[in-house]
Amino acid sequence: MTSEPVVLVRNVAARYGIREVFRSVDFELHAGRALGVLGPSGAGKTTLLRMLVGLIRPADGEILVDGMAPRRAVTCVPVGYFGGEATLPGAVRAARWGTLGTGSAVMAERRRIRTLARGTRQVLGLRTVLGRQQLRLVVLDEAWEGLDPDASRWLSATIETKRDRGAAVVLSSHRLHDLAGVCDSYLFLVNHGATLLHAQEISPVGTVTAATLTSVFDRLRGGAACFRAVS
Amino acid sequence: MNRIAALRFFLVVSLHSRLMLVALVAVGAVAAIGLLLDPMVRERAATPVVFAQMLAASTGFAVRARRGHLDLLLTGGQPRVEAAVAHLAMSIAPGVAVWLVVGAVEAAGHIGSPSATLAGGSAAAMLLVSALAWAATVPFPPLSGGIAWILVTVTATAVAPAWLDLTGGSGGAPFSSGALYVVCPFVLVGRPVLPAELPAVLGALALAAAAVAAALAWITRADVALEASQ
Repeated sequence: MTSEPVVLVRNVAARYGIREVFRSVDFELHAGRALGVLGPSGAGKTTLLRMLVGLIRPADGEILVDGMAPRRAVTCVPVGYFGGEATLPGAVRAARWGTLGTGSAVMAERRRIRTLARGTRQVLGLRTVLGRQQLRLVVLDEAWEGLDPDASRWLSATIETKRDRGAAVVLSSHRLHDLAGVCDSYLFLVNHGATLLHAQEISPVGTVTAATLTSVFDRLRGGAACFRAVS
Repeated sequence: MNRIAALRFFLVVSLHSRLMLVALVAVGAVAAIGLLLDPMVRERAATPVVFAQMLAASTGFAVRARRGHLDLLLTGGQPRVEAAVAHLAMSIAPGVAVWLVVGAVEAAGHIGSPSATLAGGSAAAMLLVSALAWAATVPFPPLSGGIAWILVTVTATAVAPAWLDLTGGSGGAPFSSGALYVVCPFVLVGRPVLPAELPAVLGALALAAAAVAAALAWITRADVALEASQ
């Protein structure tokens, strides 16, 4: 890959106060490629994604989007970011929120956002962001959360379309089977560090599946997490 | 590039609750009706509007941002400073509109005589309240700046009533008078600013301008981590 990367992350660390979230995160992401970010709760997936769009600055290291600091890049480069349905303001009417992306409504629903079903809120947020044209960078946090099978298929197809049209895509999800079909490389955030693996490294023959991702994930963190059943 | 326009964003995502907007309209209506029924209230008509603006302009930025409500705006192509200025404008707009309507009602009812509601002192008080309440609340939850300011005013009234009597331009040094206008801008309402008061009023307005500049800088630089992530 000889072209300039859309996203360049060098030795990035994140801290909240004295609590270290992660350190030494390095990766490049080129146009037309998709990166999946995986990790247990609290590993810093959301923090990393918010850093990519300039909402948070790294404690250490450097992030460049099209050669610019993210906070500047979002004013020059079309960037689509959605942090999940919980980030939508509940008092706003769904139809009005849906006009913010392109000017035309993405949903006819007139009720307030907080009265909608979780999956409908998620679709509203996704369609508002993804409806914007010619996005250079798409960053979606837990994008499949709450979606029904139809909406999940729509989202996967939309992400692939954006990627094929040249957008760089960064996704995080706990649902490994959703990421498995879409991404070209995977960033595992475990034990305050990061490991980047390309799809061919995870599965040299055939496609990456949720099972292979799970096995890599467990290996990186030193075994599967055990939760005792509660009766 | 298809940007998310900041003013349009804040028209959709209202910074004021419906209850606050209703309260502002009610305060304005009472002031306007009072003006029509009793011309003697002219000098006091704007006081409840200024008081209401103290709370209405205290919209707060940080809490909404940390809940992710502003993500679309902050990543949608608009420079942060423009988003911050739009936030300021939309925060103070309803209170300023109500004040102007009350002033228009007064002007219509008393053609030929100077307006007390829109007099220099009232305008200075409205500017002070709008700017300081907004700026003080930016890093805090909605209403907090206005509530804190009201507590300071009430405390000053109780502890130092003689200080609050320093009105009319001849009662104190510019610094003391300027501090008085910041603590209790209501003393300016309903009258013109006298030449002797001008340095103190300008000093108070300069402080308000500095507070707004600091708040704009805070918004421009702030890291917006989600509450749940921290």
